[in-house]
Amino acid sequence: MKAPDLVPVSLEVNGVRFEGDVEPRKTLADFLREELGFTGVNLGCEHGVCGACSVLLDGAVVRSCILLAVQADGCKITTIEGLAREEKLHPIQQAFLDHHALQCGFCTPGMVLAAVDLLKRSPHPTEIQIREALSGNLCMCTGYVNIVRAVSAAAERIQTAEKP
Amino acid sequence: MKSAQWKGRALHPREDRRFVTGRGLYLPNLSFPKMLHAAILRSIHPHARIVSIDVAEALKIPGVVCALTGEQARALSKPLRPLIPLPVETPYYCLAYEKVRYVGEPVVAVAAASRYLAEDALEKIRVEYEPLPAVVDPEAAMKPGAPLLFEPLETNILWHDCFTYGDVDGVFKQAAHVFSERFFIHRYSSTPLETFGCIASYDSSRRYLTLWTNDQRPGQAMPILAHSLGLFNTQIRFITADIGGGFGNKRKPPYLVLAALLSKLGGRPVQFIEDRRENLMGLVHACNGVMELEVAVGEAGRLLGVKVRDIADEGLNVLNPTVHSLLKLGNVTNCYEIGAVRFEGYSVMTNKCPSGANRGIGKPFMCLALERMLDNIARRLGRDRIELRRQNLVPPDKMPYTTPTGELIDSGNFPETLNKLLSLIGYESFREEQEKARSRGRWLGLGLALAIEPSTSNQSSYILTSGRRNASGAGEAAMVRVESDGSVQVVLGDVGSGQGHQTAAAQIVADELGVDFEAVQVSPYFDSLVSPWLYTTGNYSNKFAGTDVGAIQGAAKKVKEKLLSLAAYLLKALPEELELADGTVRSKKDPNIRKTLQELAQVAYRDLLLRHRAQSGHRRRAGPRRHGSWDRGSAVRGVRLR
Amino acid sequence: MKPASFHYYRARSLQEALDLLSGAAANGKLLAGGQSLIPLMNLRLARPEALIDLNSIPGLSYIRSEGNKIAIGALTRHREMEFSELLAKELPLLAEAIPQIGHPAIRNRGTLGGSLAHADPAAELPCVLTALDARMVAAGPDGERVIRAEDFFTGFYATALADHEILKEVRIPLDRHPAGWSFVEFARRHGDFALAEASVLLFADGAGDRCTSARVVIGGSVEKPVRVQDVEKLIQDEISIRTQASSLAHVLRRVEQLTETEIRSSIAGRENPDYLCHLTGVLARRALESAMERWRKA
Ligand SMILES: Cc1cc2nc3c(=O)[nH]c(=O)nc-3n(C[C@H](O)[C@H](O)[C@H](O)COP(=O)(O)OP(=O)(O)OC[C@H]3O[C@@H](n4cnc5c(N)ncnc54)[C@H](O)[C@@H]3O)c2cc1C
Ligand code: FES
Ligand code: FES
Repeated sequence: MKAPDLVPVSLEVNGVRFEGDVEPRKTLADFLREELGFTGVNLGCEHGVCGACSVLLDGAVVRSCILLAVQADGCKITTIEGLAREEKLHPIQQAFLDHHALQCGFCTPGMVLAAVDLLKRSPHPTEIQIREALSGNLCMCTGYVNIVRAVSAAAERIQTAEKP
Repeated sequence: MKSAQWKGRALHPREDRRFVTGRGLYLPNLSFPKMLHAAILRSIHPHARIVSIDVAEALKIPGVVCALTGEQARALSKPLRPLIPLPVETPYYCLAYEKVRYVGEPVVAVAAASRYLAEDALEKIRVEYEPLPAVVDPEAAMKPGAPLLFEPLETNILWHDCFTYGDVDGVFKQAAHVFSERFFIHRYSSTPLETFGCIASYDSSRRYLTLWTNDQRPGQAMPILAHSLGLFNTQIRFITADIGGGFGNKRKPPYLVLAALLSKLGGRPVQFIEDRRENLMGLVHACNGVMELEVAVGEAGRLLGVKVRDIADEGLNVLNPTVHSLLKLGNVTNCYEIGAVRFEGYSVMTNKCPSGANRGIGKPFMCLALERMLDNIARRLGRDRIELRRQNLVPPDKMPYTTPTGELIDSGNFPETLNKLLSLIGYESFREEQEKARSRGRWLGLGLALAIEPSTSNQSSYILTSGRRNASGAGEAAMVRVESDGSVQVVLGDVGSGQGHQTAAAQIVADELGVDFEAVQVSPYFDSLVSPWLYTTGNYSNKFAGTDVGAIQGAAKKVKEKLLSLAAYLLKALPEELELADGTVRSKKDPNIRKTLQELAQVAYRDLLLRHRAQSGHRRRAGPRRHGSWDRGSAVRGVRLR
Repeated sequence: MKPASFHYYRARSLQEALDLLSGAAANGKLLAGGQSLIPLMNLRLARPEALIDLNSIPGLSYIRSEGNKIAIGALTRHREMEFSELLAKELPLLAEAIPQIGHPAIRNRGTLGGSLAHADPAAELPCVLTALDARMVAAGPDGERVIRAEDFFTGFYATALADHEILKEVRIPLDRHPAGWSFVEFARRHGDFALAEASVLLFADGAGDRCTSARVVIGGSVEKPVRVQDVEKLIQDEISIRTQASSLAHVLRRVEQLTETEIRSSIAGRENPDYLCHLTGVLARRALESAMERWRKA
């Protein structure tokens, strides 16, 4: 087996720039977790099915387990760790707390980031839109009801906060 | 004024904050310098003899450190010890030895600098198999001449027993009707989003193993691990933190042994994390099974007795078989007053992946069969299915009620619960809706099943098969400590997967010690070096509310007594004249006569002579004095099974 | 579940990608959204020696109107198509199918070209684009060629693309605006690959009340998109906007039966063929029903 050639990448994660050489086969998820320590990127299935590894790539939610790190070259990435501002939680995170939208929490980072993507595109989502937007994020603990409630509450909160 | 009650308040689970910010303390998030990553080559046959294994090419890959075969595992460890006594020792190791017995069974494990390299190595390993006939149906596996999983056992039946409670033969003889039916249940697997994982770090200079894992049942895993590795409990430090879902799936001692052996061989910490494919093919399934059920019914529709013949297909579950069968004793009469029970159970091995304590553990099948049977009986007797059930429910005036098999139902108003259910689902109006829909060609159905969920009694199988009648199925331990600055630390034997146990523990302790909820730290870790623990320690069977809470409260009470006696000495009062509130111990009559917890703790930690005097000076206070240090109280709670 | 090693090439132009494909990376695979390829590689069901990443090639992602057709670049992501006003207006059938592809996160990455080249029989785009009579533009070492959708999908995960060709663009004719249209699918869970799917396009005469022709294409249950021509003919013969409810019901039933009959041979060999046949028939009927509904409303 030939030694794999390393590929230079440069990207921004949660507002901080990273530059380095990466083995091409390294998935973005493993790169974020192992090289950069963003372990909020959870791995549930490693083949694109569960959504636990979701991150925002230039603002759009994607699954980092089926993206190569080299493909993120030049991109801006947000992981769950980059959502809260210091002590202040993002309204969606806060709503997940308030509505008890989690149990073991393993799906939560992916759920929250998928909801960020949704609310950016549809600030007033219907329940059906919320369910469709989260359809690719599996939760094995909660049964989803509180998750949907939390997203809906977060949408309202963001709206009221933005009103002058 | 007494401080606020924390118990009973709906608080945000304090664990949630780390989960929503991506700071869960999950096993895969741990990493150590020079840590190796393991991968497992698995059997592609349901049953085959291993002719040869060649790992030479795999070891040539730079970064691949070591490989472990079943042969080596046998040399380095003892077989995994089953929880029930078996007539002969089964050569069941963390890796297949001589034979493979299910598709997905671990055959060779490798450790390498990354999981990528470890998987590369697997592709270079050559295993030659000689396929053997396989058996996947439990009834076929019971027949003479069936392929045997373990030849020395001379049978695939791991366990068979029959229990009779009450006058079974009598009630079946006098019954107006006897109904019988055969039921099947498929395998199922409640699958957590986080797969199983562990990191083993073996220090050969000390013969000491440190193990981080997301195993949800440390109390059981520890002894198995210690036995296999030939170590004492004191040579193993077993640590768990947040578990990304359990459902009974996170119980895999073979992987713990495997990682430990790899770490021993590789001389470095070794992480093994199942991938999803491995998890689905080799995880802890719930048994599939076959049940023959007979019900004796009296003239007026009274249920008189049940006979069960239950066959649980354990797959290759040599570790903890029988649970799927024996736990059915907990709900064999469900919520009905049925006076006589005969239960015959079989645990049968087949060439399928190991079953185990997956969600519900046999009880769902028991409930399904009996409830289905009741529908059939109602239909055949021309009775309304709800009325038939209502007639047979344990009546409220018989509470607490003990079932023939010895389950204690401590309270409940079952008829009222049924009424409430019917009104909640709008049973009557649904009937009308159903009629209307039917006239339009749409068929609507409404299934109905009542269920009782016995919990915290999961050791019945252990007790019945080991003969240790004084054992208890439920016990947990907790420790409460006031630090020298007056802050309060709680360590649980219990492990959690986000159910909010740490929050509940803080609520209980805050009330007991009269301190603020926020002032109580509850460790998210189970750490065998620090946590008090028992054989039953772990997270399963809804046992937190029934058992763990008692241990937490018990520990807090002991600390409270110590605080009272110290404060009484310092304030020149009697302990019963004092109360704990607002972070102080104070006089009930005059709250200005007080000592803060911090003041008391400083005495306890620093002024040792004073403390000694306080301890020996106040012997008038009620209750036994425990030995042990001043600053901690730990308690174990056990519930005895009859 | 980690991919095997490979060489990685980031192509900066289509020509560079073509050169690599017939040169240095001849045993390689093209990488577009990676939403099908990378899962297969993680499972090591695919282990290409090299990947040629198309994502940095400028000018392969666009949706534009070119007179009597719409041209979509191969690297256009599902998500861009989902939110395209042009597609919503001109190609409502396509616009109806796209939100049914996977989940938002998948659509944020997955591309038109990748989906078509991958030719998963359960994917939405092959079915819909066959109904729309799309033309695939393939670029090869010797220039470009255009392949009709019906000839493009040749079987289970198989297309007419040659090894060294790259799908560059898809052109969808706009010469006939449908009077009614519908795409329906059935999946076990929302966002899953479909067990079966049906696309229906109805075209009307000038006065707009007779159905002059129809295109009905089945996907999912079959190994490649299948036009059910007997059904198309039946619709053309029997349907007008004024078809009475009772005779429409009759036609719908026949559409269901005929679809089942026509696809039965293509379904043979699959698990639960009877169920799949039945399901497909039902979906064809429902698609026609909803296409009729739209026609009437328009
Ligand atoms: C969880 C999940 C659910 C999904 N659900 C659906 C669904 O419901 N419906 C559906 O249709 N799809 C679904 N997909 C697949 C998704 O739509 C993919 O995006 C799509 O099938 C492939 O597109 P891609 O751009 O990701 O291609 P890639 O994965 O990058 O490539 C796929 C194949 O096409 C080749 N290829 C790519 N681009 C070109 C080109 N321009 N020319 C020639 N060959 C090329 C590649 O070499 C590779 O062989 C799902 C995927 C996942 C992970
Ligand atoms: S881990 Fe990436 S989708 Fe499941
Ligand atoms: S909270 Fe456990 S998987 Fe969602």
